[in-house]
Amino acid sequence: MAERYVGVLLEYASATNPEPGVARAPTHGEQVRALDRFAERLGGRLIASVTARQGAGLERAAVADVEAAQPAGLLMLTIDALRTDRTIDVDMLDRLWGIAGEIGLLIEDEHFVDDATFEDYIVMVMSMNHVRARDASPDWAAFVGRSDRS
Amino acid sequence: MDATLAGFEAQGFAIVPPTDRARLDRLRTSVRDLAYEILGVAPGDHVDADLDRLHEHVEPGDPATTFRLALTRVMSEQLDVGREVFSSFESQLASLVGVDVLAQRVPNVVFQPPGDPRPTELHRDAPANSPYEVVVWLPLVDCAGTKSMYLLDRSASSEVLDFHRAHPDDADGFQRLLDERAVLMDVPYGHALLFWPGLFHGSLVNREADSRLSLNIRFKHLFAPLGMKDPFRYFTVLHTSPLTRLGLAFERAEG
Repeated sequence: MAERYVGVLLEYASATNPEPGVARAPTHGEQVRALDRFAERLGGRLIASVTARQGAGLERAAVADVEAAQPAGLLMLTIDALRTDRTIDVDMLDRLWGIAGEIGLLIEDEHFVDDATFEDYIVMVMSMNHVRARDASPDWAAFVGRSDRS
Repeated sequence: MDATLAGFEAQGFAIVPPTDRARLDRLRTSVRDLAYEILGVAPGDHVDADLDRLHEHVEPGDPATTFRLALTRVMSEQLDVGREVFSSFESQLASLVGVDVLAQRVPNVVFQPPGDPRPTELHRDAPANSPYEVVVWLPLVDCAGTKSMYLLDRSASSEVLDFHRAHPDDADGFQRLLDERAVLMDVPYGHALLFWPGLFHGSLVNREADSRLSLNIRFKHLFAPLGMKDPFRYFTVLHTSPLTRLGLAFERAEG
């Protein structure tokens, strides 16, 4: 029987895609189709999805929906779905891992199926949370984002 | 301070030998094997000659780009290039970025057959990249003359930037200054050019007889300031110290 996956979509705050060169943010339908293909590649199918809001993360009610679905794994559009303000919600990521035991991140091209690789990723997430929190000043954003690089 | 590191700070770059040559050689052989597998051609007995003569199997222009992208993909799938490069030049790179290290996930592969009309235009990486990164430019063949890349050291980069800001519409004057200050790097295989991303650099049309195949990959300290790139897509954790792991575990358990 095919593995049952739950998708985590991201409702972008703006229709403008944050990626340079891409005209717009992916729609709900496009995200579902992309995660469904991701599930197929893993030998499964998408049985349900929940949606996080950009910058606000995943609500507790959505976590309850994930839990109720008893999925084999969780396939997220992006780790940014768990970002609140500038940092990734590590407690939420931990909780989802506890529920699913398998997490895929489509945009980041990551797939965790064992504790060791997941723990390595937690190191990355926690470290980047520290860095992003410290680098949060408008001055730094203006410095690295200025256009006179050549 | 080590003379190499002092030179790096003064000039913004250093050409360094590997600390583990055998590892570097294995990486190069693996890249050669993958390249020839993509091309469907049996490799010869000499890795350097095989890579120098890649243009005999790939046309310049679009076919060269298609080949480069295919090689980039299989390398990122089948090789741990970041680890191999860092380990090959570990003493110098660890001195620059420390032991808590982020590595660029997918290395950039540059293939420039003789006469290829698409050299890399003048640019600098930072900004938008973080000025706390180091770029490792690793030729897999001997690179000199137009087969190599050019670089402006710290003072020359500052000078051309000042000129551009003072005379934004003087393209001819900017080009003259660039021609005077840019230096084509002489980097034989077995060495790496480490440079700071604030330096202007680029390449010319390869007018030499052989192909250039090179990699470039960036490393930074895990906790150093980020640039504009999304770290979760661009970097991966290569190494952490026991102290960092203890601190993060403590924070996670008791934070």
